[in-house]
Amino acid sequence: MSDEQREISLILKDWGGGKRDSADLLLSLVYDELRRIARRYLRRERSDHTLQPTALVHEAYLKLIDISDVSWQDRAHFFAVASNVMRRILVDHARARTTDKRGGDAQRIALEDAGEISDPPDVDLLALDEALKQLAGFDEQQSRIVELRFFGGLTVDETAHVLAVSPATVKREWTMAKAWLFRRIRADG
Amino acid sequence: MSPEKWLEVKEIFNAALDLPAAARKSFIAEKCADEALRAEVVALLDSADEAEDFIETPALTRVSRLVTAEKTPSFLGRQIGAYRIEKELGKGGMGAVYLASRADREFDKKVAIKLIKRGFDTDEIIERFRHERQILAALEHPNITRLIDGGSTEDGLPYLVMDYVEGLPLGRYCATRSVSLEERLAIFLKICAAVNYAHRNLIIHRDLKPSNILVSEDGEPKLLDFGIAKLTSPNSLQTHGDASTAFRVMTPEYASPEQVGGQPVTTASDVYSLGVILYELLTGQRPFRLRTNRAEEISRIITETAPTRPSDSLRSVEGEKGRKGEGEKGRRGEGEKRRRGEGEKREISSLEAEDSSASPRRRVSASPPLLFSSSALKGDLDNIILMAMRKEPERRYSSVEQFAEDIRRYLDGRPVIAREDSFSYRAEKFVKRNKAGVAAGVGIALSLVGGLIAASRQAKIARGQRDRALRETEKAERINQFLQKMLASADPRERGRDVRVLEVLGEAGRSIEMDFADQPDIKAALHTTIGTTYLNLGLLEPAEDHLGRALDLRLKCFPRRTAEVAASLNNFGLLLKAKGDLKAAEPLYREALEIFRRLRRPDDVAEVLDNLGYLLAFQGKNREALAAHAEELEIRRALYGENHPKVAKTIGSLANVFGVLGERRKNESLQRRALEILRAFYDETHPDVITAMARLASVLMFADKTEAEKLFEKVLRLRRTVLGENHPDVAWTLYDLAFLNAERGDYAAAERLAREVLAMRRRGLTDEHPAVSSALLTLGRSLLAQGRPETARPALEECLALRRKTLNANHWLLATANSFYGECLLLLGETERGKRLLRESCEVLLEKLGPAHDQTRAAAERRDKYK
Repeated sequence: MSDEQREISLILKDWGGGKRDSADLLLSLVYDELRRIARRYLRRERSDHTLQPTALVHEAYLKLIDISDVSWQDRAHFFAVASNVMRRILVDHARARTTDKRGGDAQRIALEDAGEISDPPDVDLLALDEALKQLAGFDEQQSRIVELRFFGGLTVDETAHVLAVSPATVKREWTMAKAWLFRRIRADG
Repeated sequence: MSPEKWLEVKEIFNAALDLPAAARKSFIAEKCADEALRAEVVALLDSADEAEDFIETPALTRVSRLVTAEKTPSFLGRQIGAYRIEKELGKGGMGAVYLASRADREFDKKVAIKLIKRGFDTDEIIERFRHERQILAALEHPNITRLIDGGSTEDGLPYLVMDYVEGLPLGRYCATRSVSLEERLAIFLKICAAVNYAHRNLIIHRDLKPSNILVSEDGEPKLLDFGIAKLTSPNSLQTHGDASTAFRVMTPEYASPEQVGGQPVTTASDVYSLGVILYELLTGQRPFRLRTNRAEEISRIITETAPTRPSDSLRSVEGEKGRKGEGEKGRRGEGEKRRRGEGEKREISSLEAEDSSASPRRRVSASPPLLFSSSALKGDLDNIILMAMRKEPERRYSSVEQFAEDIRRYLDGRPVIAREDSFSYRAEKFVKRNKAGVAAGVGIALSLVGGLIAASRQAKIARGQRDRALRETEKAERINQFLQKMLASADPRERGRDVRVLEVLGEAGRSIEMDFADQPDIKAALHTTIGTTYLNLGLLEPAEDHLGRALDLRLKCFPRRTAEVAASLNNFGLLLKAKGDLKAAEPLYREALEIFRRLRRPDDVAEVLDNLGYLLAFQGKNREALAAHAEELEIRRALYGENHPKVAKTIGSLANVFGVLGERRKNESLQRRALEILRAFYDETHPDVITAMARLASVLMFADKTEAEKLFEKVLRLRRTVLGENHPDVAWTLYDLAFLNAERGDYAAAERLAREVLAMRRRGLTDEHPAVSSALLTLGRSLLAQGRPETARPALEECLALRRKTLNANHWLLATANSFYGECLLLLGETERGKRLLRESCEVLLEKLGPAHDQTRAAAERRDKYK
């Protein structure tokens, strides 16, 4: 186990034990690694590789954590943090390109797709991020669910584990959050 | 929106959602006190339907597409330097190539301009561009694109101006017209000439791939993109790009093992990539299917898996086509007699996919026929390609020139220098790379697959059994694929209990049920492999699960007296032994032994005899144990000769029994002999070598404690590295060291080491493992010696309880424990009982081990001390 791994495992344990402030410390440790991996994915020359939803976070996880030494609870915490980091990375990335001086009209960049019709509609990351911040203002849990599901790629069950609620609750809140965000973004758009 | 208000909305929204759509309206009207609330709920319900798919696909899924979807500002019509952009020729991940002509029309010359994409103008990429320019400027060869100019646009984007090559990428070129085998080789030889020229100018391309090679109408190839090329000049200390950069930018399908492994890249790496290109050029298939994004997995596949023989690869495509054709026509008829695949239309799928981004529809269009069949590749071309693609750079062609020369020899009908890699060499290398537990797993997997292949070959020979042979081959192939999938992501450079190996094993274990639901025999084989790997890693619980399933399945689908059942019985016996349940293991070994004897499988008989012998010796049945190992030795010497790892293993086992019998000299000389044989075959990290060292150290314990200690410490270090911190064998070694210290009289050290063993119980070491009871005994003994009988008592009692559970009542190991326990009781004031135990244990030891044995003498001394 590397020193970094050991440190993160310890922090996760702390956190599992209720020391909330260790989250920030963890964040800073995880951030660099995720950034590095994300950049690699974003730069990949060939586009025909389809990325597995959580491949990136899992890859970071495997790199940073000594699995044999970490409980599922710790793992859940890690994914919670990683989801937040991914949100930042992706939104920053989208923002960087909209504010690109050559962009001129500051056209919002969607997570566009190579053109298959069957794919779900595009998502405007910046608008989603904004709407999510508003949502967090009156329903913190719903916004976290969206963060975990959409940015972290977690399943309903995994999300339920992380938040220590039932999967049924996650599903219900997820439906409502989606409805609200969808309407919010459309109203702005 | 206030949180309070939102809660109200939520309550009504959720309740309404549970109602049928028709009933919602009245429900909401009834529940909502004010209009604003009602409107909010209704609006949310409305958008809930529309939002069904909204953000359902995680953001990360699309990250990779982000890059291609990015809107690049159009450069069409713009002027760059002296050139005006006319059209886009192609797009890559980081930039695009445009067709341009001189703006001043001074010359009517068309050029290609390569431009970095906005957003990718990072320092690193700009540096690459500058570098490419420098490299290209140094090269002038008919098969390498010429650099004309270069510079930066007004807004600072660097660009390169190059010769415009009117042509198609290699893949598409071959896919859109009929190109004979000889023509393909001729084009390839020109590519080799270009690469060879670059090498002579001390430049390694490092990113050779079909899409970097354009072929003009008249079959003249041109090499493009020296973006990550490297100068090899000995006085150029600036090595461009470290391994990680190279990995990120290169195309993994064509990268050599040393490239993906971050090892130094040489001209041999280009030889490898050329081998891959030739493979694809002649078969239409890539040697490896990389269906993953994970660097570790890609690296594993490239460094570990052997490519399918090109002719086999081509034949499998022909086979597919053949089957399809059969289905359409109903029967093949006379075609069967002709050489299969000859003259059939075939699509060069993978080559075309390489370039398909520009016009995805093209792929569907019919490709011209391939003018040769797999039989043309069999032999020389297979060997040539595979020689270029060997994993070890030093075993490939020593230069591109030599590679090209061999192709010319083939074309001229002269004998080629490439030879087939022997299977044993490949297998040996494979296992060598996958040390330790994983090695054992892989070794078994290989022998399993090998066995099936051998079986299928034999079946093939027998007339009228062709179908069965096919089925067997298919079976072997499926197992092979599954195992490769499973082992692909385990990193060989991570030693010890690799996290990823465990993950992968777990994953593989779970997917067996699904992947092979209808094939209990394959399922059993895979459970065996996985279970054995777990067993070697010392993870007994999952090992028991898998080996148990394998045994159950085999008992169900094979007759009792088959090798499969016998192998499973033996494996389960090994598991029980590892758990410390020696009594239960014995009947399994015996049945396996009997089956193997009946089937006349001497190799298997020897294997089981080795296991049984160990168990017998441990149970104190020394004469029987000696007989078992003696027979084993006879069999193995007959099969393998005098110097073979398996013979060494037997010698070691035999020596062990002599050790128990107190014949120290014999023990020592045999252990040394075993170690000597093994060392000639493996390096020091091989588990068998480590075991032999441990055994030798155990002997030396009585002769030369300092040397013994040194050796044990080495064993401990190796085992921790190779097997991992928590492996039962680490517990054994710690115990050995504890015992050694106790023997030497350093009881404090002995106590500490014994406690270390016991602490391993928290990390998966089972109570029943013999190292636990032995450590308890050494702990008790050390405490006694330090004058702490009251602390020693519970340790000794626990030791006795465990030994009673696993051993026969008059086993000498129970007697040694009783001897110390007697002393302990005596010191604590229970004089009578203590004296009795001291006396009785001596009698057992005398009977079992004889008067001269160390254990007997020590027990007698202890008894006499309190007479």
